[in-house]
Amino acid sequence: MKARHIDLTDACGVDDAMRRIAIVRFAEVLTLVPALRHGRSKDLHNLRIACKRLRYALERFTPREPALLEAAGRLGQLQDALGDLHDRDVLFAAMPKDLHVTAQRIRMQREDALARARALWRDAFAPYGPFEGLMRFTGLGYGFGDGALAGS
Amino acid sequence: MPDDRIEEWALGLVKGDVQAFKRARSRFLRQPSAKRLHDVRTTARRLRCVHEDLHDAIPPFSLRRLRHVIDLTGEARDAAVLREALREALDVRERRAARHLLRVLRRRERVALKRIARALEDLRPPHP
Repeated sequence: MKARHIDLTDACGVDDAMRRIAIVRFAEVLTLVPALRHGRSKDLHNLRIACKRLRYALERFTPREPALLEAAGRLGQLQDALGDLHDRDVLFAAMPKDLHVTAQRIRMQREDALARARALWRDAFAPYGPFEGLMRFTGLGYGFGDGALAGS
Repeated sequence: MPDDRIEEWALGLVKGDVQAFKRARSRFLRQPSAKRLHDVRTTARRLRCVHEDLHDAIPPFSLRRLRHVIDLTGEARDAAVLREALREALDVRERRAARHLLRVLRRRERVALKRIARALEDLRPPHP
């Protein structure tokens, strides 16, 4: 998934530039979050990439904006869970069809990773949770915790 | 163009990431290892991301070769991680049936590592 261009041409100072970048990258993540509900591989992979982009950006900003540190940490955990899931998907696709027991184990590991990612996402939006600082900084994400995962 | 303060800040960030990539590259070329490969991959991807985020505020530089390095490190990393995941999940009764795939993954990793070393030797890190 290609990263969206961020317009900095008329940004007013470094804080405004940081905010513009965080808004675009966080919006990319929020757009892809329904993947956690339906669990489709390709969309989950795109979500992982978007989490990574946002995390890298936030890590760069934390010297000036320490309130973003917790969100960066949570995105790292989310990225790990989605990475485990992606590895299982790739492995499953490459495996010979006669490895039935192993395939079953891999499917279960995938489900565990997905459940872990969902829990990390939900918890991130709790009051005073890891995304609090990010939501305040960008003005985005309100109502995205449980709401985005309803039915999963 | 963005104002001078933004350009100065953006250039500082890019320079920091270029330096980190150069260090990881030298360490890997001196003595390749899984950890050092991971560092090359991570620093290369951070550099690509900073370029995407700050595109409007930094002088243009090409990412073509860096992208090639990222792709190659991905191949080696995927082969190693998949081999490890398969070993971990493998049922003893199915060991024989998995042998071929394990061998293919090991070979893929070795080939990718050689190609990475060549690509890194040829690569001149970007000078923004």
